[in-house]
Amino acid sequence: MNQLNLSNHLNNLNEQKDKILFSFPLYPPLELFHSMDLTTLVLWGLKNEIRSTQHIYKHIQDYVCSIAKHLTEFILNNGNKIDFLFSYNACDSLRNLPEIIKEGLKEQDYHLPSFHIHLPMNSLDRKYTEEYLKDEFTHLISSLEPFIPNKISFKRFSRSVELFRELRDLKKGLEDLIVKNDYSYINYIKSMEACKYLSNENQIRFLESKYKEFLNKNTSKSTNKVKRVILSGILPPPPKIVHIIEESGLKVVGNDIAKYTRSLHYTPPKGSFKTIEDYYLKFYQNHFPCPTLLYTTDSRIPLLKEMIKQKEANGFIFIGEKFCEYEYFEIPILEKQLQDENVPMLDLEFSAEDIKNYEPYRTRIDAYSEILTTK
Amino acid sequence: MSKTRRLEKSAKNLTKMMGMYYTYNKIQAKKGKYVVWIAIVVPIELLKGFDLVIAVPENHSAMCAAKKLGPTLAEVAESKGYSMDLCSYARIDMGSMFGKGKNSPIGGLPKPDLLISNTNNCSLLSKWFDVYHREYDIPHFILDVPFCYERQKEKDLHYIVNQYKDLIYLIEDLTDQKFDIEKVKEAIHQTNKAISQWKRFLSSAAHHPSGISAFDSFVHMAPYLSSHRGTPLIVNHFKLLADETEKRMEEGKFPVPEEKYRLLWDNIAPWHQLRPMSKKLAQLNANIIYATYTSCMGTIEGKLAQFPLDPSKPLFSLARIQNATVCPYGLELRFNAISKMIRRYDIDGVVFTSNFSCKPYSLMQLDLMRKTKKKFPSIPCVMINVDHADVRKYNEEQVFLKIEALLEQIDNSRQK
Repeated sequence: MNQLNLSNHLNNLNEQKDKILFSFPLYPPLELFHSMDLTTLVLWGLKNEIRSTQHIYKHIQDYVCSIAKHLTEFILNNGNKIDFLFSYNACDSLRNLPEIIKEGLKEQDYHLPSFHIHLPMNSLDRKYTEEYLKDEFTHLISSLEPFIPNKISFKRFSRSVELFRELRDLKKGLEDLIVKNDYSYINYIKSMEACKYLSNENQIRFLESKYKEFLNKNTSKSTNKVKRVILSGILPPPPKIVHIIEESGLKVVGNDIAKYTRSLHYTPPKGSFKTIEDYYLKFYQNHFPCPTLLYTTDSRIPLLKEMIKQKEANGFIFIGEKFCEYEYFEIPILEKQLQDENVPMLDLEFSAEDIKNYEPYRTRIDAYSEILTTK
Repeated sequence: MSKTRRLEKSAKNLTKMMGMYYTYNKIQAKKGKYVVWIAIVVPIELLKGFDLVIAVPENHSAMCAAKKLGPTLAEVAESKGYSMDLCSYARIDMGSMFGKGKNSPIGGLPKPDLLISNTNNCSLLSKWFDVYHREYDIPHFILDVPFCYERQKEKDLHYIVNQYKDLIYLIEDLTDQKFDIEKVKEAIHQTNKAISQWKRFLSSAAHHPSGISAFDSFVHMAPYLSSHRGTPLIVNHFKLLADETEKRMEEGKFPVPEEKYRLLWDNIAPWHQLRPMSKKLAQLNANIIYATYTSCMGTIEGKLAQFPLDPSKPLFSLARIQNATVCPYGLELRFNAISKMIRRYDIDGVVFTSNFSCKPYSLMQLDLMRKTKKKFPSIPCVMINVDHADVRKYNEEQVFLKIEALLEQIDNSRQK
């Protein structure tokens, strides 16, 4: 599956009579939807899917991140192909979008059942907050149940959890293998993107084959000659940027990308939860820190420092999503703290508009590489 | 040429009150009183149960912007790496903090001991306050308020009340003070009285010509967003404001005496443009008579009438209005509110202000405008671009080109 043909993929799913749920990013309850036999597509990284902006600027202003823009355009172009929408309070922009999209679909005479939960943002370790979150899930399940053929069961849910655990472990394992064996990090990004719309089972098969492929490849290691960097941001950078990073003599050894590590890091251990609600309490309580999860503020920087130490990284490259204020509020203090640890940061910014010229990025990356190598 | 009217007595009282507020805060903080910085939607009445110095960074930023100091202060934060795309309130107040009060008209806010933000008005407030949390190494309490797409759910109400209780325990623990609920009840009582006067003041907009301009309401809302809230002082101020407005109306004095265009404003005030914009509009015989921003003070969920707080149920009352005091809320609720305003105040045109620094308020206005046009085909609407506190992102020529086009549309619509 290539990301360029998501619309065709949707057509295929429609032909198979799949029930399709479009989910807003960043961290939706995928296991739950899977256990309900809903084919879920999380709508981020849709840049290559967008061929026009006929809907975007009719509904939202220019000063909004690419994720919100592309998501709006994509849903309004494909409203007839989907069954449900899901959102949560991931950020202020995404919080406003459900009603905007509803208006846009109404103009096309579509009405989509939409589901929304409020994820508590203060702290998830207070009794009443725990109860609130669990209740949100109880309500979500009961709201979705009338639309699905089978009643949701804990057994089915647990099977879905195990499938997601396997998938997440595979994805993490593939990254480790690619980094350890000194392959280009582009391979990781391309593998992740290539399988993103496949079913879980097909993703597992695809990733296993990729894993074997990289396990069997024989390459000489050159890790000692290059400086090691970690990528951070909401979305991965375009492969061309990774190519430029590597050409400049840097090696990507890990990521703090919302779509990758932040999403994959944690699955509650088997046997640690007795209900679906309990699972999601643990899932969000122990989630990898992210600037959009307000209750993770205090754990984020220490954890990133630990990651840098573990990966023996020399640098940190921020892949900025223009207008994502959650990320940008943290950057100056993160940069200062990493500087104190002798880990310089490079701040690159990407917007919704197509990048036509990569050369300015190259100049900055080359200069950054020089700083790292002369350190 | 029309003259912009000034509410002289009220203006003098406002200056006195706000001066008193900032001076008192400084003195008390110097004496060692516990200082809390809050976001504007955090209920000040609740904090009246303690003896605290309460400072509101948003209020401070608005004042700096109104005094044309916004860019100077914002540049300090920008030089520290904070992006120009971030909210200008945040950049201005952070600039003041980094510069230790330099260039702030009041020398900055007293150093905080505790931060309380909320997520409803805008969850980025919590990210902004996190900067102070890390800089000062002090606790930051996030009041998490589920967004209001519809009437508040019962469980959300209880969730907010539980957080209030947590906050009370936290402050008791940090300050060694005992929370006094009776003081909260009294503050609520005063707020009820104050809002009643505020609504009386705003209702002067119904008169032809309007007895007020929305710019008056922008200026005079300030004490409500300070620790004067919940005190007799603010009741007196809003009463003075309403009395003075009515008296002037009786005397035939109006902000735009030859008022030809009655406009509605949707968004936060352009603090750096209050005087120039109102003056220029008056020259065109146009008056922005009402604003969604100041109308929602003391109301809930798109209603225009005051929501009376119940002093016998202080925490529940305050939690009930947590969803819509001075804040954006869901599209349908906002549309209902705007529809009522258009009818009640005989509005000729609507100015939707797309605000670079406030996505929560702005990011639904295109649909809101479309719905308004559909429901009121004879009421022209316009979308202008403004930043509430950063004048560098404001283009007067472009804005007035659009406003003048709006006025022409109103003329055309009248001829039909």
